[in-house]
Amino acid sequence: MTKVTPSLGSVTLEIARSGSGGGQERFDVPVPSTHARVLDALSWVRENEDPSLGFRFACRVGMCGACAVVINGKETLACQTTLGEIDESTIRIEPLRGLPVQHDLIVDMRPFFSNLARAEAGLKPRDPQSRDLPIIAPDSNERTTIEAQNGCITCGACVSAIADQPQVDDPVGLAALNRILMLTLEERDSAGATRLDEFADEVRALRPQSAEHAESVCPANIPLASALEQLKSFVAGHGGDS
Amino acid sequence: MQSLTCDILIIGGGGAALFAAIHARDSAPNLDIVVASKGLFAKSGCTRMVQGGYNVVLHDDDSFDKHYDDTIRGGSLINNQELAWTLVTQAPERVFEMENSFGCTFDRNADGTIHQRALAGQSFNRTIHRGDLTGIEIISRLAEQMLVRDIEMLNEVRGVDLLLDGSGQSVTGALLMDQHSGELIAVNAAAVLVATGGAAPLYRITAASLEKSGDGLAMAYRAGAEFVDMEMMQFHPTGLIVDGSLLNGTVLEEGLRGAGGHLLNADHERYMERYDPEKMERSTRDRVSRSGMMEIRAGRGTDSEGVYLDVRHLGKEFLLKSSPGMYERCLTVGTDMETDLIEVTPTAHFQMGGIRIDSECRTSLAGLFAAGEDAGGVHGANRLGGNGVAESMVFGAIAGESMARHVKESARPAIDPDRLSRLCDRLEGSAEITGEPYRLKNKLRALSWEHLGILREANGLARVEEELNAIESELTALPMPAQRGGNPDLQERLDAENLIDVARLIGAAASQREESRGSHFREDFPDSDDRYLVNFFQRKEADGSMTTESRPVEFSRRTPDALLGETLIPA
Repeated sequence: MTKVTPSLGSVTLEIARSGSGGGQERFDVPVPSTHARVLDALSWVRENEDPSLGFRFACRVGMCGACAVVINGKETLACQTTLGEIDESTIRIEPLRGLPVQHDLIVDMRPFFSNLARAEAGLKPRDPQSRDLPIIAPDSNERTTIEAQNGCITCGACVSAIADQPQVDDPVGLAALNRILMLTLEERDSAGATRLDEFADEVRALRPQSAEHAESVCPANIPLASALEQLKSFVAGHGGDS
Repeated sequence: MQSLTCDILIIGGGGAALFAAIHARDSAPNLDIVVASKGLFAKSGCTRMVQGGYNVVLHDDDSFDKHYDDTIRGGSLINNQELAWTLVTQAPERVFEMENSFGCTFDRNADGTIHQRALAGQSFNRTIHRGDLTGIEIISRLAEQMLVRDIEMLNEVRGVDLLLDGSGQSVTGALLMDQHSGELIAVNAAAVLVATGGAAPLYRITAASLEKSGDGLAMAYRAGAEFVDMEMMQFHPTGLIVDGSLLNGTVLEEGLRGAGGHLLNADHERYMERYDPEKMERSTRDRVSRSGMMEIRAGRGTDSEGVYLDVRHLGKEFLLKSSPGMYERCLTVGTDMETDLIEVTPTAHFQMGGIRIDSECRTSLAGLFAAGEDAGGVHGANRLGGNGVAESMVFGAIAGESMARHVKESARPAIDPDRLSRLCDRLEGSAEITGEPYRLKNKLRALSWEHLGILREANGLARVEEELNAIESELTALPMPAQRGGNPDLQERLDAENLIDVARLIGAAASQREESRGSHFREDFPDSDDRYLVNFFQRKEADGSMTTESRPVEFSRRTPDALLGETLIPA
C-alpha cells in the first residue's frame, strides 16, 4: 500500500532480535517519503524482508503508546519519529528497558499495568451516585496542576528511561506516581493523600535528575520533574505547592 | 490446548469491552469475568482515538427528542428506533458515571459548567469533549477502573472462533489464541460478548486502528448470528494524506469543518457548492466524503488523490485553542494549518452495520452478546459524529449488566467437542513463515476501496464477489505454519480471513440495496427510493450459504413524515 520513491534513498535499521541467536540484525530500508516514520520502516521490513519481525503498534498517531521503543538509546514512539530526523547513519531500535522482552521489540507490559493497580491509580469516588455534573473551575490551583499532569498514554517510556538509575526495590514507577499526584489533588476522590503513604520511600529515593530525564523522553510531554517535586513536598508534609 | 471456565467472556479491549467488564463486575461481584484483547487492553481499538467527543443531552434547552430526531435523520430513517432511543436516553447516565465514578474530566466553561459544542448534523451544541483528543481521557480512566477492580485480562490473546453447544444454537465460549506463546485456549463461558470493533481496515485507506479486522463480526457470522445494515460503512471526509506512511488516512476531526474550514479541489474551488450548496462543508459525513471522492474521480483531485482542507482563515490562535492535537499532527507531516492547505482524503472510518442486537445487547444466538461497533442498527445509514463513543459506553454498560443477568438465569452449556477439535486441527501445521498474507491482505484492501467503498455499482459489486473467492482460495491454500507463537504472519492471515467474511456481507447487502441512502451510494441508482425503507438481514445458513433478506423498518417511535427536513449544524 505504500508508494516507494527510491530517489529518497535508504536507511539502515539495526533491530534487536530476541530469537535463538538474539543480537542485532541489520536491514536496508527504502525511505518512501519525507514524512515516513520508524514505524513505516519496521512495517517495510516485516512485509518485505522478515515477516516474523515482532513490533507492536495500534493507533499510528501517538495516542496509544503501544509502539514505544528505544531508538539510538532514547525512548520514543516509533510512529512519531520520522526517519529523516535521525542524524546517525544507523537507526538502532531496541525494546524498552526494565520490562521483560516477549518478542523482538515487544516487551511484556503486565508489570507496568500491575504497578498502576498496586498504586490504586483509579478514582475512589466521593459521590458515585450523583446525577449532576460537578462544577469544576478550570483555573483553581489543584485543577491547573491536574490538567498539567494529565495525558499519560501509559507507554512505559518513563520506566525504561530510568531503569538504570538508583531506585528503591520494586519501584511502582513514575507513571503511577504521577497519577497518584493527580488523584491526591482531585476533589472527586475520597482517598486523599493515603495512596502516597506506601510509596513515600520511593518518592524520597527518586532523584530529580531521573525525573528530568524521564520527562525528556515522555511522548506526552508530561512534566514529570514537577510531579516529583510536588510529591516530595507532599511526602515531607508540606501538602504540595498548591 | 489450555482450557478455561468462566461466567462471562468479553472479547475486545476498547471502550465497549471495558465498560461491559466494569458493569458486569459491579452488578454481580461474584461472577468470573475474563477479558481477552487482541492488542494491549485499552491501547488497541478506536475508543482511544476518539477526537470530536460524546453527544449527550445535558442542557435545559436541549431534549431527548431533539437528539433522537437528529440521530434518525442522520441515519436516513433506517435506524433501529428502539436502539437509537436507548442510546439517547442512556447517554447522560454514562457521562455522570464517567465524571463522578471514574474521574473523567471533560472540558469546562470558565464558570465550571460543562462545555458542549456541535458536530455536523446536530440541532444543538451537545457534544462534550476534552480538547480534540477526547478518547485518551475516556479510555485511560476506564482502564484504571479495570485495574483497580482486578478483572482478569488476557492481553494479546485473540478470538479465533466462537464455540457452540451440541445444538449449534447457543454460544458457550470461544477458542482463543495467545499470540505470544501460540497456545490455543478453549474458554467455556455462560455468556460471551464480542466487542472487537469493526472492519474499517478492510479498506486501503482507513482511519481505524490497523489491528482491527472485524474479528467479532466474522466469528459471529461463522457461528450463525444474524446481521443488519452491513452495506452501511462510514467514510470520514478528512483523512490526512501521508504518502508512504502507515499514518495515511488518520482522521482530522470534524470540528475543523464545523468551525468553518473549507474544502477545495486541486483547482482551489469550494466544490461543496456543487453537491450541497446550502450546508456546504457542514453537511453530513456521507455527503462530504462522497463529494470529495467525486471530485477526485473527475480528475479534480491532487497528485496524491486527495482534496484540500483549508483552515488558514480561522487563524492560528483559534486553531491552537480548538484543535491543538490536530495542529500538532499536521506539523509532523510538514503542514502548518495556519499557512498551508492540508491534503486530505475520504477514509474508511466506522461500521454502522453489524450483529443484530436487541435493547439488552442480545443477539440471535443464545449466550452471545454484542456491543460497540460489532453491533448494528443504532446509527442506520450514517452515524453522527459524537454518537459513536456514546454508543460504545451506553451499550457496553448494558451488555455487562445483561450478561450478568443471563448468567444467573441460564446454565452454561457444554462445548460441542467436534466443532472445537475441527477449529483446533485447522491451526496445526508445519510450514515456514511466508509473508504471503500481507500481500493478499493488501490486495483485499485495494479491491474493497475500489468497489465496496464510497461509490458502488452493480458491475463492481459482482466483480468483488469473484475476486473475494479468488483471494480466499489463495489464502486458504497457504499451509499453516509450524510456529504459532510470535508469528505476525499468522495473525495477518487470520485477520485477512475475517475481513473476507465481512467483505462478503457488505457486498451482498450493497448489491441488494438498489438505491442510495446515507453512506451507501450506488452510481447506478443515485437517488433514494422509499421502497428501500428496509433493513437487510443476513446470516450464514447450515449449508454454508449466505442469505440476505429485507424487512421494513419498524417506525415504532417516529414515522418518516414526522422527520422530513434536515438539521444544520448551528452557526
